[in-house]
Amino acid sequence: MRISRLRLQTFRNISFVDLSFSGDIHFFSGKNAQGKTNLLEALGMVSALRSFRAHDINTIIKQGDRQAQMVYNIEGVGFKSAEVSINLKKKGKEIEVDGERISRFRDFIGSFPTVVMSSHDIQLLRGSPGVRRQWLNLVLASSNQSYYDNLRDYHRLLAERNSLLKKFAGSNEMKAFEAGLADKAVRLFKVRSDEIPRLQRHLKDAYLQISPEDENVKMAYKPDFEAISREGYLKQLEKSREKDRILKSTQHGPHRDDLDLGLEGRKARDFGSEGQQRSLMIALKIAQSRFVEESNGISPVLLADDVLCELDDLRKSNFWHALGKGVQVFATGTEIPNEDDGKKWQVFTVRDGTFTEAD
Amino acid sequence: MTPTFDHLVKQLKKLPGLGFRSAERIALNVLVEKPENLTNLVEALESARLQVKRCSQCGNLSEEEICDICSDERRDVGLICVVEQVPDLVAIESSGSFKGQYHVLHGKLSPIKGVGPSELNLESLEKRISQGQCFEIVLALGNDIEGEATCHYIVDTIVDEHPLKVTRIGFGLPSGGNILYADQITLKSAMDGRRSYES
Ligand SMILES: [Zn+2]
Repeated sequence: MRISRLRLQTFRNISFVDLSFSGDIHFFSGKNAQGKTNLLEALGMVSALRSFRAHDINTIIKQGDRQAQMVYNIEGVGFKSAEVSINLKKKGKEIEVDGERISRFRDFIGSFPTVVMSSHDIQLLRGSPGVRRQWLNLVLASSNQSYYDNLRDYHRLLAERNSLLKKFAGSNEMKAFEAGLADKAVRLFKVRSDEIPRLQRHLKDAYLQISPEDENVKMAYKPDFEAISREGYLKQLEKSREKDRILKSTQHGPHRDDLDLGLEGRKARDFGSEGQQRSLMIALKIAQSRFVEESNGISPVLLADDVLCELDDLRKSNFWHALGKGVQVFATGTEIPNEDDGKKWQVFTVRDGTFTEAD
Repeated sequence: MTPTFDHLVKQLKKLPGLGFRSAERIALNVLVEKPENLTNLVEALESARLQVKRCSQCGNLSEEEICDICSDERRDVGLICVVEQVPDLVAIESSGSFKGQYHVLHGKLSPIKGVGPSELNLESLEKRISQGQCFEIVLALGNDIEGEATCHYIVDTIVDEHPLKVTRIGFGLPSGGNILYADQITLKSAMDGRRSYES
């Protein structure tokens, strides 16, 4: 897919912009805190209605204003063109596609995929399992709608069960919620078991294209509990009920799963050099993009926040080669990229929330 | 505005679906704009309070000890359809697809919202089942996670050892559906197509 125009109103420090995009690669250049990342954040919100950097959506609304508005014009596979408008209000979000109100967000999520690359990505290696799980869920949910439904229901059931644990509720009441929990756990386990190897294949291919060294990259599913059957997980829940009561939360299940990322059989976060880690991060995002395209037939838009400038020349040229033609890229940086990249960037200079297209 | 007026708004605001603005609008309407309606409203509230209650058998609204449906001899006492709320019962009734009796739970299990088994109208369901006249329980609760958990609880705890057929109405709706949102035709086919419940 391709974003051809973006309009923003009272979005963070941006009062109003109306940008038309020509070509496939666009660069936003400017000093820090001028609004470059805000623009990428706005572009990313079209995928899952979530910000890649803010938990509290209210911080997006420009100070002193009641709402933030985003309008995207999108061209792509499966639809000729679409105009998507998102209205963020303090009380919630409103979405319209071609003037038609979308009342259930699940029908919208994943329709317009983007992939974000930022300095925060290193947390996928160094951070807690929760960081990797969140990324995995994002990838799987944007390529499989029933995964999104199961994940949402699983977390609601988990919250209900945890609330029962705190109240020392009877086992009949516990079982009533554990039944649903086990159903969802088995489905999440199944999708993760099936899809992680497919993601791993894309990662392996992409890493070999990016890294100048000839290492093998590995991605393995590390389930906290192998929820192969409903009965198996139900038994586990019953077994850990007493302990869960003491700790006031459910100790085992898909919400504790992890991914093992490694190079040549070693964990990348322990052993990889900085260059290897950087290659791995980029390969992960290219793998994510290919995985989503393979699943939905829509090629995601790439949003690269401040990362392309930091690559050495070899990795940079490998990156463009691996990306292939036709993928739209929005990138930010403090300096306009060298012409010797051989790339014709559409360049915007960003200052204090305003955007000027360079000639 | 005045202490008594503020107190009234505060009480109105406790009603479901009313925010502060709507509560204020209602208070102004009945006191100042259309005071002629107020007497009727107070009378209606007072007589409803005295006369409308839960049917002691099924939980439906009734002005007698036993509601019209429970006391209708033409209805099949062997069939009990369990619903969450009175409006669900009304929806099924108007679809004309069910000729048995009902049981209204007045909610569904939700530990987060503080709704446990003792908050639901379950004790009288247990009593009805143990009387032995009923041979089929039709579970017509929503198919969201709380609705499913409540079905599970009823089957596990209330039906338990009783030799009953338990069925679940089919839904032409996606997961998370509430039977109130279904039209009459969908409801009728959901009732006709009810399947044996598997926990
Ligand atoms: Zn009754």
